[in-house]
Amino acid sequence: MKVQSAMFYFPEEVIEHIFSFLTHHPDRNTVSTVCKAWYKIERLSRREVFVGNCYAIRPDRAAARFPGLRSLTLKGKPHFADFDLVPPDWGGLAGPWIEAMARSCPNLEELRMKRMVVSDESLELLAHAFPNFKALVLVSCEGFSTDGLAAVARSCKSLRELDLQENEIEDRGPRWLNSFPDMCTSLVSLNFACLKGEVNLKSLERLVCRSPNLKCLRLNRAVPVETLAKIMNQCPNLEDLGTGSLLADQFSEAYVSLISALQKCKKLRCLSGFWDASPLCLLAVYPICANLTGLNLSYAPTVQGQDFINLIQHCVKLLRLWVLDSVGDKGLAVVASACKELQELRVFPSDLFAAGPATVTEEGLVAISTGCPKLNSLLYFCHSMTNSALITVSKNCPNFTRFRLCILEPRKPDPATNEPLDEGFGAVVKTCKNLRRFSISGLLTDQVFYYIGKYAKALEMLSIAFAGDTDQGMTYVLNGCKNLRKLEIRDCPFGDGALLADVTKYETMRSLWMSSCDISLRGCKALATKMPSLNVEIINEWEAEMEENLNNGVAEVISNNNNKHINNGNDERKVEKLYVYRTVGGPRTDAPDFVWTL
Amino acid sequence: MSVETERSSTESDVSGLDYEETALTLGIPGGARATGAELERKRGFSRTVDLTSRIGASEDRSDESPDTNTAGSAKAPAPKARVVGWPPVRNYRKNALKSSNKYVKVAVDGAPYLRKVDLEAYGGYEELLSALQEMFSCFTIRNYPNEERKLVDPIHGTEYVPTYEDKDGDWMLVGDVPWKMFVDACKRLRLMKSSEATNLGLIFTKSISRINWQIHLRRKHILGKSNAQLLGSIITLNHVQFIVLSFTESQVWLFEILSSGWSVSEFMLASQFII
Repeated sequence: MKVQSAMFYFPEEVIEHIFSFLTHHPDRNTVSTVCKAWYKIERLSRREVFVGNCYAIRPDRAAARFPGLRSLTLKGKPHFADFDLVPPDWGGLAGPWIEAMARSCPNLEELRMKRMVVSDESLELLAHAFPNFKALVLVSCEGFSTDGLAAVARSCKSLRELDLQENEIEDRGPRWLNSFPDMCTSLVSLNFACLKGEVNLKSLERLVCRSPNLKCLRLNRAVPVETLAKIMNQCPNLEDLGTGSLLADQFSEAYVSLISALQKCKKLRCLSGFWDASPLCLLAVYPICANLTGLNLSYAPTVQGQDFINLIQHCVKLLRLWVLDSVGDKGLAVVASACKELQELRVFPSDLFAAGPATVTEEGLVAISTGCPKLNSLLYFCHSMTNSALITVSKNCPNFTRFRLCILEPRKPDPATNEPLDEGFGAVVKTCKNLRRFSISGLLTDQVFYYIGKYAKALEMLSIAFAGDTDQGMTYVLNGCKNLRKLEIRDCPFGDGALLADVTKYETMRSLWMSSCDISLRGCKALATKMPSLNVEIINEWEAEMEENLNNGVAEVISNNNNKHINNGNDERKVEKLYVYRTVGGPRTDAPDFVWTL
Repeated sequence: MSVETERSSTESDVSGLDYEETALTLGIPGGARATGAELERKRGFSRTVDLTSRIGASEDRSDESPDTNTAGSAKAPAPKARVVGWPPVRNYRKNALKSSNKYVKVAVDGAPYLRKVDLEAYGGYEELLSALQEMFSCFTIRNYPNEERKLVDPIHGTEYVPTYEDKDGDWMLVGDVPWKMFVDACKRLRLMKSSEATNLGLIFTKSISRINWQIHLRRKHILGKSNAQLLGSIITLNHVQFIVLSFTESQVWLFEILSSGWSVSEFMLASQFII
């Protein structure tokens, strides 16, 4: 055809130039499948790679395909690993990836990892293997210590970003901060809020002094107000600040200093931290509230009641707010009246098990929806919810892209009518056409899944717990949600029938997680047999316990036992945890003994 | 705060005594709360000790009806059986909010150096006291058969009063307020020699020389009386008489009345309870 021949005459540089405008990964993935020429051009020009499941592809293959790689994003463990549902040592090791990149992609500049296990050795390697390394972002990772951070600080000459979010980091002392060399002046973003231990305050001050480009700084709890004030005076251009401990004596020099320092920071848009915040220190923050777009108070149980109200009513430009439920419905009502631009709200539980005096209910959520029609992202932990509230909320805010509601008591019905919450959640999916992420809770029957399958056409990720009646529920979802990528289910009565209802569906998805459901070994084996392009993994913790009780020397015996258990003919046994994902990498080579790949 | 009671009472005979002198006062160092003037010697049917310095705490407690008192010693509805991984909150967040270590200095009169304790590590006053006992191992907590305990230095026989400095800088007696409130308010601890405590007016003057550390009383045994009614009344335990000073959730603070000092008849309070 004429068009086709015209395309062949396009010089590669031109096509490459066109591709450079494609930044969205799915788009780049699509163009790479057009023809071999485009595949080659695309892969050589690709600078950013996103691997949503680190076991979907072997590290070597990814590195070989994209030699020009500059930025890599990896996700490891399944989402429910955040909630202790995945045993330790399950996997998600960063080591093989860093090694592969070190071999094939020396120009790597950015590495972002979520829920992966990173060792100090890997961080050492990273620090030495990539001369242009600029940004390290670790979210919900573990396995490393401050020694690893020191290695990165010491050797990454042009480090711009070190962002540690909610990781489990072994604290081996405050010396790591000293490891930033004196000539290091390139820092733009530093976040060590999740470190539990002491920090060398003098080193911190010196580091800030020599980092004129610093825009984002998030301190940990060990940094006192005095140091914060000094730091703020050094960087009036700060845009994102996470405070340390905000305890200050009345009218102390530190407090006064903090007030004046904060007032100079005209560009400050995002605040977090507020550890141990005293009401007095909150006063210091009022003058900058009017410009804030992001506020995270979710680690500040001391900021509640009137203190919270006094603070939040100034935050008229707020786009993102994270709080604890101790602000209560009353606090949320004030948010609704003050923060008209609000787009994202997260309300975390402060007391995980008992109903405290001031928590949030459906009233708070309805108030927010009434006052903040631009709301598109919600995470809400509450003690109860009603259908009518959810219907009202969805009417008020039809723009939800992320809607996660967690009612703390499993299977709790609508307290007003004693009915399941099918209609309420159904209203959300009916009204919110752009819903991409959905988490549901409370008493739910198959009906809610019927609604989800029928209406949630844009849905990409669905989290279900303690819901449903029969296999039909899960089947509705698998059949209806065309764009589904991740499905995670726990404690639901879905069995083999649901699992096998549409096996080819799983090839279109990133992963499926099912735990404490009604599936059997037979069903899982059937799935594995029918779909060789999937890894069908079973986590059996009984074996994990056994493993702990035996010595390393009998590891072989254990693996023989595994085979014995898989193939001993008792296929009717219930499978406790199932993780299914598509992959081109074949079965995992690093699976621990309690993970069986069928 | 005055509460009409229906208990039978015996009028006291106060002949010859200066009311002010014998008035029950409860003061904290530095503040002579003039409760004396507010007290009436003739107690007849009427009032409990007007512990104005304790009003705040007492009023909280008076909100509890007698019915809930018995259940009050139990915690708020027992936590639901905990499901693994529920609610879905990251461990990091759980730990960050939970373990807010609160280390406070502990000074003991006469000890050469101070110690530190993490108040968050203890569930309540009892655990704290046991820990203090272990820490300052020169003490023993003497156990009397009726579950009385005192922090006593066995060598010298001196007894210690646990006090703390709160956010306002005042020195308070440990044990009055609910535990959580105490943890929040406490800046440092001091185990004060009870003789010194006397001088500071922390305890009643004159002959009341010993303080009971803790006595657990099951209130339902106290003939169904409310907290307010019990304040200031006299309780007899194993033939030793005590005056009820204050309450917490599960504890009662009593001062022992030495028979050689105050005479019982000097108290105008109503009846005596036998437990």
